[in-house]
Amino acid sequence: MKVSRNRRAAGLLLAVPVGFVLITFGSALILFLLESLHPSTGMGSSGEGFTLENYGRLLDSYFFEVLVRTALISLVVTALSLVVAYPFALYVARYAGRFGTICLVVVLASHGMSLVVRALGWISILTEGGPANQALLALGLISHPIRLLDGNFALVVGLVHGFVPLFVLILYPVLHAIDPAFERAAEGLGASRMTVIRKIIWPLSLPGVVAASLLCFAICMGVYTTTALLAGGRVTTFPILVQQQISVVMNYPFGAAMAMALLVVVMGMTWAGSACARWYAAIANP
Amino acid sequence: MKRRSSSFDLVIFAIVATTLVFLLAPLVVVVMNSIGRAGIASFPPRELTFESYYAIPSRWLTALVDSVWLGIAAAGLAAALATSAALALSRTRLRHGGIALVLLRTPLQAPSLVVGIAFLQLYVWLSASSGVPLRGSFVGLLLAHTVVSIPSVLAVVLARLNAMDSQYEEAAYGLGAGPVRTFFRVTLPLIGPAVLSGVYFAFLLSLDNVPLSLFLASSSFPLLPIELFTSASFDLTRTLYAVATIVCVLTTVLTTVAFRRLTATLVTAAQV
Amino acid sequence: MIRECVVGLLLAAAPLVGAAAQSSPKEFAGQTLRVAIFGGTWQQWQQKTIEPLFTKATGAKVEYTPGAPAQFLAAMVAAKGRNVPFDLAPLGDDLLLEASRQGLLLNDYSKALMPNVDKLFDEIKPNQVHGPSDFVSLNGVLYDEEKFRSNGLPPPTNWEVLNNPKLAGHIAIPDITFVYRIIYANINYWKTGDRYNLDGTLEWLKNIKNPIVYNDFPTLQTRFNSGEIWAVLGSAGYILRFRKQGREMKFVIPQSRDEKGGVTFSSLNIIKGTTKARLAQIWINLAISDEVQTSMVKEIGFGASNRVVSDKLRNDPALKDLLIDNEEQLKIAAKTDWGKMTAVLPQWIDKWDRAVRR
Repeated sequence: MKVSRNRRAAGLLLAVPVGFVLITFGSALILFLLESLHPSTGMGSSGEGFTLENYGRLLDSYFFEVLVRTALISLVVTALSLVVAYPFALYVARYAGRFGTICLVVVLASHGMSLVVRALGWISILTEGGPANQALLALGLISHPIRLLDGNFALVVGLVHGFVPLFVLILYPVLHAIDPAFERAAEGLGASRMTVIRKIIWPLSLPGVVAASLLCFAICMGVYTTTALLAGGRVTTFPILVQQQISVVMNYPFGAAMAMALLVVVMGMTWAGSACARWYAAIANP
Repeated sequence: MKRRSSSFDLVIFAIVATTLVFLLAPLVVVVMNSIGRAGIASFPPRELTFESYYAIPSRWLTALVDSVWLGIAAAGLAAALATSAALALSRTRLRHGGIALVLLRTPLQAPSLVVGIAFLQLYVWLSASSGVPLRGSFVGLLLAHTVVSIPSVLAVVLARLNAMDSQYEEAAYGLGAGPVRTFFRVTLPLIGPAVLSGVYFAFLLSLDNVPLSLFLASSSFPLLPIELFTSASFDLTRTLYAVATIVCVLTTVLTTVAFRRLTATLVTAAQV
Repeated sequence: MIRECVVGLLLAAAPLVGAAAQSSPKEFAGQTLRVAIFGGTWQQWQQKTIEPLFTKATGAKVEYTPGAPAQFLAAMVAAKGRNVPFDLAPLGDDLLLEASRQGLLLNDYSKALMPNVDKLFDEIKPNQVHGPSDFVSLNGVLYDEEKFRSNGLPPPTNWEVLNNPKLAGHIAIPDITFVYRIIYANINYWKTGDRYNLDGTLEWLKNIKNPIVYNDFPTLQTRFNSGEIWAVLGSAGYILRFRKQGREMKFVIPQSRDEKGGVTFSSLNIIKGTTKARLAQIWINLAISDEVQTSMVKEIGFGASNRVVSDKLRNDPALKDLLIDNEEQLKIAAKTDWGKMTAVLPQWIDKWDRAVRR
């Protein structure tokens, strides 16, 4: 392959972005790591000397519980977003025609709405006198208004709403790029639409699905704003704990230690996720 | 393509319709809230007027311009850096490619608030040790926003490159085209839509990133999300909904235009 | 020096600062005062009321950094007195001691530049810890009198009333990270006699089914609008904001043992490292002037720190609840050991998270 000749050029192509991230983010992260090893000496300040005390505090099973809950919520949100977004993206990219443009505009619009304001919109909808409860009452599904806010339900709804556009916009180009010739050939051979999707489109779009899912999961693990607004102070996720330490208690060393722990966990899980995806791709398309 | 009307169409149409309602619901509420009588917000609004749109402080418009400018700069820079990395990672097997990928993805895996604080500490340290005042400056914000934008562009572009056969590029090489020419004439048109959608993510991520900018913005370079956030933490007025609606409409119109171009690029690329 | 004396004399003699300081507009011409400020309506109101007076008096410009006090403290700590990002910042009593302990405030005030300080309540005049207070906050229970009456409930003059099962799902309480968590100190004191131990509040909370926990005003507002909220633990200042929604809420500070406390204050502080200390004091003096304080009570709903204004406006039934009853409340507030309060905050948050959150 001629491509190998360009190995040196490729090295350079990679060195520039890596160098940029290392110099900026890398050094910021190292400073932050150092911060997590200092003792706290009051709001917003830390002392000299090094200690592992901040990490020691994290050994409490409570933090593990919160981390597990955060991961579970992120997994559920990622899965639901994919379930909602995939058929939608498929329709828009391959079947919709003109109507697809309208669908796409709706996706863009919902993605372009400020997170804070969108969360306030959800609160208006889900609150006890809000349209969601009114609709459920009108359909006779409930006899009196129920509390839809203040828990995992509202949080998951808000988060899925945030991530569906991300999925659609990542999947759209991937699905659109799949050559219709494959589909026509398969249909010509008598395959049903479902079979075509399962056997041809889904495997070909898998890299996009994996990329979008990993991205969604990673962002979801770090979401703070939506949780703070929609969970009504009743659900604790790890970013909430980090935020409390950084913004309220202003114990930067402990907050930094928590953030470092979260970062390592997310990186580990993302790595495991992509490893699984590679393994699956290998057995699915030998 | 011939279409067979079937239960499949019905099911997928039902799914799409439900999804549309779901996506639109909070937006409708926000828009409704923005056109109620000015002052404090309540839903549903009692009288409809556009008062709140006239009540938008001019400071917010300045902040909007600044935010858009920052978003474009950060997304552009991130797109260049991420595309470069994606090409290197997908088209050659580099020894440290895996580590590089992990590193480039990291900024999105750390909560934005943490990235913001980490950058704040870096800038404080820099200004103390060398007098470089990055805190509150455009460059300071740009660096942080670019770093956070790289992973999303990288993810999209890399997915596209991995799904794409490298035969076109190899053909170009075979015909004697150099790497630069191949990139601009062959690869870029093929991955263009992916790069654009990556840029779009990066732009929106930057435009609406409260936790990242909270500690880095300053009065000399006000950013809209920060202005909205600090305003909302004191009280809730319809003006907030009005500004959010304007920003939403603007980004939607702009990206719709971009996406039309993008679809066109995609079609021509497929025909080549 | 001579000029300062002249200005001082003029300031002391003239009732309106604007008129007096006009004599030295050149001193500050071309300068910019950088003010840290709460955002939203508060900022708009200050731009409308204080800024014109200030510009007229000094010829200087103003630049605002909107945000929250904790954010200001974070920025001050990071700057450590060098290249401070603003000259003047509002801090609540919960953060003041910490800011002062870390040596971040310039506690050097000139009586000549701030004659209005004389009008402040004694307890909140500037001292070694903090600057002059620009508003006091009355923290207690806002309640819907109609709903309470129709359910046969007495006004919540004691905390026990809120434990009534009829109120289940209708009480909004602040999150432990929200500024009005300070109300829990009173509940702690009422329940156990120890205001620094959150166990008292958690015990009390056990008898409140389905509380609505808010950690920002927009959420509270949005849910308030849907009608599910009958009582709110919060600041009297909310009365005015709810009034704009067309709903009248009553306010009461429940009795906690021998106290009827629940008053906190915010002060305007000059940041160490600023070169605009004199400009900042002119701003502060305007912020506590009769004119501005009157407007603040009427438009924002915060309690006046200016005693003259406070006493005068108490005669207005629509404003009575927004202002402190008597100086006894400020004396009770002064009993709080804020150093200790800061020290127990991490424990409060930890206990709260484990008990109230899931």
